[in-house]
Amino acid sequence: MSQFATFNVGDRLFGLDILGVREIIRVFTITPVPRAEAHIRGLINLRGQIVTILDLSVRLGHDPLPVKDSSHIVILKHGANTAQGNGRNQGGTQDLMGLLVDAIGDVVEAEAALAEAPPANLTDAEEHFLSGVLKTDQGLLVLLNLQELLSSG
Amino acid sequence: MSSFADESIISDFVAESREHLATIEPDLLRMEQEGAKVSSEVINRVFRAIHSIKGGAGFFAFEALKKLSHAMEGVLMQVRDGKLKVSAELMDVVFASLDRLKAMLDDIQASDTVPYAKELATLEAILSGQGLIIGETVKGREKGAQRDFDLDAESVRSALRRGMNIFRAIAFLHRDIRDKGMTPLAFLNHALSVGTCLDAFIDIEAIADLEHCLDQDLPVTLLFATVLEPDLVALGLKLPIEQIKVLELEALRKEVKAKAKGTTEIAVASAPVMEAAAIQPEVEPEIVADAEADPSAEGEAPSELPTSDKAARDMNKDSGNETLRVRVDLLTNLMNLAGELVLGRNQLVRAVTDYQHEIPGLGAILQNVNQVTTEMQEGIMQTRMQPIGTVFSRFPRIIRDMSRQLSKQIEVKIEGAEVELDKSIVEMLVDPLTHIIRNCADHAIETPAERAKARKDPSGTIHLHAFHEGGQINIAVHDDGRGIDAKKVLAKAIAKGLVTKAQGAEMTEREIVHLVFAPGFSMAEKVSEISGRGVGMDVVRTNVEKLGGHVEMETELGMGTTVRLRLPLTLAIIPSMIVGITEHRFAIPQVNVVEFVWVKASEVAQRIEQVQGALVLRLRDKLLPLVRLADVLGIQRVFTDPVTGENVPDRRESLADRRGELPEEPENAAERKGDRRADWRSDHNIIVLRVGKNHYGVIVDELFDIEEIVVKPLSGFIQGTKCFSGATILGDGRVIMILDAGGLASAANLHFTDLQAEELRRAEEEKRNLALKASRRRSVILFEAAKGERFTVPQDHVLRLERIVKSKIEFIGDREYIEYRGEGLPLVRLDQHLEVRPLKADLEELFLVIPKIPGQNSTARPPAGILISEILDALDVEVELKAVEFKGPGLLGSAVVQEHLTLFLDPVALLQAAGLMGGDTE
Repeated sequence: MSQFATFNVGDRLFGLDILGVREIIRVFTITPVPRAEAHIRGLINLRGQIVTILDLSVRLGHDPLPVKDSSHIVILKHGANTAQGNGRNQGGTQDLMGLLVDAIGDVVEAEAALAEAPPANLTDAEEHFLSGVLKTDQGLLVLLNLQELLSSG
Repeated sequence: MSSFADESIISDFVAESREHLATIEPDLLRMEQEGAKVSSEVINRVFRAIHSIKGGAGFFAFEALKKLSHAMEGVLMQVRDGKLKVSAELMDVVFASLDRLKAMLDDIQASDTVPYAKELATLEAILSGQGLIIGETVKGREKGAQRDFDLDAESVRSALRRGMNIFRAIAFLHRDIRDKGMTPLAFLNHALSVGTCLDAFIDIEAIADLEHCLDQDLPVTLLFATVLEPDLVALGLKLPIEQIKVLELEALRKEVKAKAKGTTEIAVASAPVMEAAAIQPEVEPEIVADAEADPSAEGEAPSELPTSDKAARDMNKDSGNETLRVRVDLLTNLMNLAGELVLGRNQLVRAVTDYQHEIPGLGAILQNVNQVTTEMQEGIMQTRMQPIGTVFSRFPRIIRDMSRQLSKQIEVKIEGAEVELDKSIVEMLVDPLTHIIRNCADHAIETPAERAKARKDPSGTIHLHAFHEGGQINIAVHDDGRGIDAKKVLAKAIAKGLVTKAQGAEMTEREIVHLVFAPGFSMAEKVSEISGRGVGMDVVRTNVEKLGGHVEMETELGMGTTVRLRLPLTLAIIPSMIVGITEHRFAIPQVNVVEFVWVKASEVAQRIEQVQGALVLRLRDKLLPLVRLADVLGIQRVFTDPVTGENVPDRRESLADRRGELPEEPENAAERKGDRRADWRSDHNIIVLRVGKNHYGVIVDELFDIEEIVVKPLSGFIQGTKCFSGATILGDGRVIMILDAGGLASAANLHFTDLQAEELRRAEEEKRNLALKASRRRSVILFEAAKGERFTVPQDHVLRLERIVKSKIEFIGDREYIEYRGEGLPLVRLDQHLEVRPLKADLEELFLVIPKIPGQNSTARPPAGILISEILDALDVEVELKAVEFKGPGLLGSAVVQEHLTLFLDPVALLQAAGLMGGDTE
């Protein structure tokens, strides 16, 4: 059995293996990055470390998420999957990433092997970033493909 | 490869060996230069380094590395003992072997695949050519382990000569090394501090089978020479005494002798059953096999012994206690943390400042925290500092190879090798500096024949000099070569289409020389093996600028060239200017900031204009391209409505104000209030940034303080934007982006070359205009005749201005006169000759303009005076006169002066028309 951290984006319930989640925080000031791709929501200062925040909704091809009281940021354990090493900053801190989500759900236990292929009625972006669907008591849990989600370009 | 040796131990060995090789390179160069005179200390150092590489290679069973270093060691030993003369050919093979060793170390696991047969053969040929036994191996066979020690006769002999005992020490990997918290390498190093390690191996055969290899303890066997007694050795090595055996060397001695007689290999039983028995030093002369060949060896050996031993001990002490090998990522991490601490301190200070009076002693605590933090940060920065010498030191070798290849004589002088820079900068300097040095050797320094012809020392010099200046590091690379011919550079640049002929004609010599930094520029007539591919100095410049530095070049034809690099001390913490656009904040590194220009809203029309669709600012006769930061970054501009105080999106496309001048007296006060040009909030803050030699201006809304910021790398997701070089956290905890001056310029599509052409065109126009203006420039006296009718006369046509009282005017017929210097002076009224209004009749006081007639001196009697009502001003005007419709005599034309239509008079012509000129009068 695996444990999944669940969260809402729009009316969908998404899940990530809990082992890939570093922490979940409330949203505070996000510094926007001009000229960055639309799904880059901005940067935050997480106790002295800079975290790049992705707007999951935009990444999946929808409109940007408005920040609400229930909004949270899911900080991921693994850095972005980019090979680019800026020569000056080699050996520096890890490239921290976070996902902006609408609301946080429960931790759900499920058998990852039971995941079914994502439904066919998806947008291209969704198909790319989703790895499968799990049936749970809370309803359908859409599993995210972190690797793809965090690969830039 | 031994299966047990884990990666980190091997990488330690590799790192250490690399260091050894790097340190001996200068020594080898010295050996070559000084030949026989070179001090034994230098040779010994080289020897020791190679020796320890050999030892390690044997330890880890890197066969190729071991064989080659072994052969090198043999050659070096002969040099040390004076049996082999240092020659360039000899050094060639030594250097070549050194490179092979480096190549092997670069990929240690594949080290056996590096071809080294040629070097090995040459080395061995040198050895055998001398007919000496050194380099051949003595095999000591151990009964128990059935394993040969590989050691050369010379090291045994020299150990014995120094009165050392030779031990066989067995250390068990687990029990004696790992369980005591040491690594095998640390153990080996430790052993080396106690004595000399002649050979070491691990008894792999002792492992029964793979399954048990982890549980089983592996014996490491050392063949060890030291002056210490067995019990002390055991203590020193921290090994149980039963694992230390003194070897009975009688047999060994025999073998060495036998070898001297030409026997190549004899297996001698150096049985482990041997009892401890020290070899007596007095037998030493007998085992010097080649005593006859080198009688001096005997005499020297004892005298050398105490000093070199002491030196060795001192060295060990130094390396043991005063330096520590630390992983770079650990330091980087520490430095980041120190950066965080600085930020944290700033936040803390900000947060508690208000409570300073309420909590006694808080101020002192803050001050203390403040100081400690600063010192700690500096200290940690220091740990990352590396002397520039680590880069410089490779150049003598490069130059040596190149000078032999190019048949030139080149000397390298190094100054300021101790100057320290951040490690990352030092690393990134390697390529640019290597490139500059290669250029010097290949292009700049002439052949000895050419130099002789130019009456220069046949040997050229490349001078590397590093020094501190103004918080920055300067590195100057000077050569005394042929210098750069600006004419040739220009011809090449034009041929390559980098500049046009017209541009070239306007360039200063310095600018032309700097063209070598342009991409795609190459001076080489033919591409040589060394340089001339046209990707040279451009790369140098780019790399140096990436580090936040500058490159400059000075050259004197026939005398030499100097390339100067200016670099920041460190990249991690940089003073930056914080700027704002609406609610966004950005940091601009101060090294990029040239100056700050404030253009008042009312001056915008005069100073900012558009050239080919781009905004430019006139700044001291130069055109400065302008970039609106908000536009480049795609941020919605807003302006604060001066009336309502609201922020309204700013939709203006262009900054250049195309409306007319501000009206002097606005008809409607409310309208005036709405004119943003009059509001200070519409003033423009322009920061002039430097990208290479180009400057451009960035328009921002607000300017804040200069802050020391800690640069944090950007996520790969954001690096694509190009405009930012990193991010940072301000004292108040907010994250802001650091602007990249170069990236911003390219994102804004700034084309500096277009602008230079425009600048050139303007300069020419300016020149023409200036000439024209000079011709239009007039010094005039401005006066009024009838109310509101203004006139001027050229000052040089005016002799005097007089004030008169109306009652003094006398009449003869209908002509008016006045007494002037005892004579009657005829008066002229303008309305009598021109279509202008008469003077007011009721004026009591009038003025006279007394014209000066050209050719007459000032004491001559003036012909007449012109009556006017008021003198307004004497001034210089630059006007273009327009013809007036009511052209009358003496009227030159009209122009606007001081915002009034003014008629320009020629007094002489006027007087002529009035019939009052000298002899022409009736």
